[in-house]
Amino acid sequence: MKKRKLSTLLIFLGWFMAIGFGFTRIYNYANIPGKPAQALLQWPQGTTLSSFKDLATLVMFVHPHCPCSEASLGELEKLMPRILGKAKSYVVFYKPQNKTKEWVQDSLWKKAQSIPNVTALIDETGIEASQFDAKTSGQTFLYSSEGNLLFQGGITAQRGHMGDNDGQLAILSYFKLKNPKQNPLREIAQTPVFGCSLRNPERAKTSGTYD
Amino acid sequence: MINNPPDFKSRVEKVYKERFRAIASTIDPLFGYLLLFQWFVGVLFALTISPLTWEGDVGKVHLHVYTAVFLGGALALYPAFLVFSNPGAPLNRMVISFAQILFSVLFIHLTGGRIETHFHIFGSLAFLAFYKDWRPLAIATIITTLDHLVRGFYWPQSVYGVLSSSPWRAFEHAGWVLFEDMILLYSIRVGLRDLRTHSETHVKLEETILNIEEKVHERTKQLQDSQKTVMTQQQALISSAKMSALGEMAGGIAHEINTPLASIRNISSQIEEVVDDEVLDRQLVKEMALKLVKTTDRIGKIVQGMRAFSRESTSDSLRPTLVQQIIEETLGFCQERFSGHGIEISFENKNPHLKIAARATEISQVLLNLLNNSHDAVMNLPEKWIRIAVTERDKNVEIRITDSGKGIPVEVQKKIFQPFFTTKPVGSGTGLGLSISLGIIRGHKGELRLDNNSSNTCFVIQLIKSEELSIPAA
Repeated sequence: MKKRKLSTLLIFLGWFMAIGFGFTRIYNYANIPGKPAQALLQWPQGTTLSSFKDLATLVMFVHPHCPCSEASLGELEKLMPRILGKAKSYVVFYKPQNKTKEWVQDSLWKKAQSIPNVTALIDETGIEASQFDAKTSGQTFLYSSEGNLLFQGGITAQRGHMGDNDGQLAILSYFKLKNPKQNPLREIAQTPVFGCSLRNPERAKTSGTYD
Repeated sequence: MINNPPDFKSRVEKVYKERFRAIASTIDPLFGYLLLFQWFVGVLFALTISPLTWEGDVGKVHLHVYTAVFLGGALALYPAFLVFSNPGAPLNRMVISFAQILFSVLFIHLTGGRIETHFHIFGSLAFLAFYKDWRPLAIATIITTLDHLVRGFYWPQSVYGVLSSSPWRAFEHAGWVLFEDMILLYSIRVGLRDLRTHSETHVKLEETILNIEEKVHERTKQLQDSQKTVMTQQQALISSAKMSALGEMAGGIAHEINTPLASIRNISSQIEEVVDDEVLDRQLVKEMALKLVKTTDRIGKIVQGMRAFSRESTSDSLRPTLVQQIIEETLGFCQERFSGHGIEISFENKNPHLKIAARATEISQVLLNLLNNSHDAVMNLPEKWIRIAVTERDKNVEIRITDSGKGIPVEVQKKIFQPFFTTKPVGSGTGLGLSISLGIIRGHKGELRLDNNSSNTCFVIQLIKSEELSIPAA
């Protein structure tokens, strides 16, 4: 009887520990950010994207199939009405050379297109991403109308989790200033980005490019 | 039965626990299936929402898929094993409670922290309340609170959707869980109270059934005893009725025997005289000796008939018996007496070989009873006769006993077959003759009735021919 109780207890403890391990693992994973960008402090010269006149420009780079970026776009959807008339956005979808246009224009593309004041673009072979040094899906940049970098990072607090986050707060705090053109922030706001890698690491090693 | 209070209480407690366990045994497998189903749903969530993680153009299976398969599997399989191997065990619902709430956590994670997925917790709590046990709810609440505290501390956005949060936020969320708990705990309390009331009712009902069973047993025994007494008395009454009929015949029988005895005496005197003759007429002596033999045979038959009549025959089986023989033997008892009272008896039977399936003694008893009744009825009438007629009717034989009486009044007809009913003066009849006769004839699968179509009093005995029954030959 005692043996049975002991084995039941041991099995329960083993199960308990396995579950504890599993949850710790997924929470840790959810909080591991992707590679950050080393963005240019000024609007990149080589980009084909044009900044908006008298408006701040928000650029988000997205992998078309990154499950975590659903949350990033969700946050963008919530953010845009709050900065209405102050900024416009580009959501740039990375398209590898070996993938079709249809591969890119999937559910995330449609979601981005549905957000007011957002322009969805296809980034062939990641040319634009390399201009901005975006390496992780969900990477967002905010440039002032003068082309100064105001913010870079992610606008989700975890992988695939919506909700209040530092990135969103940093962007909103800029627009809450009486005179946003005179950015009082001494440092450029930066937050971690949670999402899939825009680069194939093996190929990046050999070619130094996205493809 | 008066309840022994401690015994009653302990039995109520036993039934209460049994029912409590039965509830758990019913809910356990449901949770088993639910957990397995949730495992499947978790995998489905992972495959739909986050099947792959990408590095450029290369997709790899997302950690969520492995999590849903392995962590979801662990959450579902161990409790499912417990509930299916030992349903109703207390440990099961504790483990289930733990697993169920962690499934909520897993679902919330797999669905990217969707606020809608949080409803899974509230649904789970309601389902856990089906156990009517506060402990699974307590475990679920503690886990929810701990999860919120830990995650609220390390990753507040994942649980509250805000960047930073005071630890009290965990209690705010737990407060909503507690709010539901309060409602569920109240329903559990009511449920348990009902369960106890039902258990008490059950035990009381059991006691009542036991009491009834005891009473039924007691009454059945009394009834059986009474039945035995009645049967013994009935046997005694039948015997008494038979003896009574025989007693009534005693005078006639004495006469029956006296007549041949007188005859024997005459013949003996004649023989005495003849043997004194010088020349002995041997032929005459021989004739007279033969007469003596015949006369003694007649006495012997009467005595044999009486013996047969008076013997116990209820256990005899039905045997093919000549109708002619039964009637003649019965008439042997009474013919002389009836003649002595001036009653003319006639007997008609066109087929002397006609056989019935019968216990001869019993049929003889019925006939004697009917003949005695006829005798008493016609004795004081100016016209005195009794006719016995035997006829065949398909598979049956009818024995009609008609006397010169003018029938029986309708109000009497209704009662004549009832026990203890008699129209004879007190002390003359038992009132059992016809009821016993009816019983005997029914015991032969036959009928005994009064023929109302006859202008005279006529009783009809209907019996089955022996060839119509598979009975052993006599």
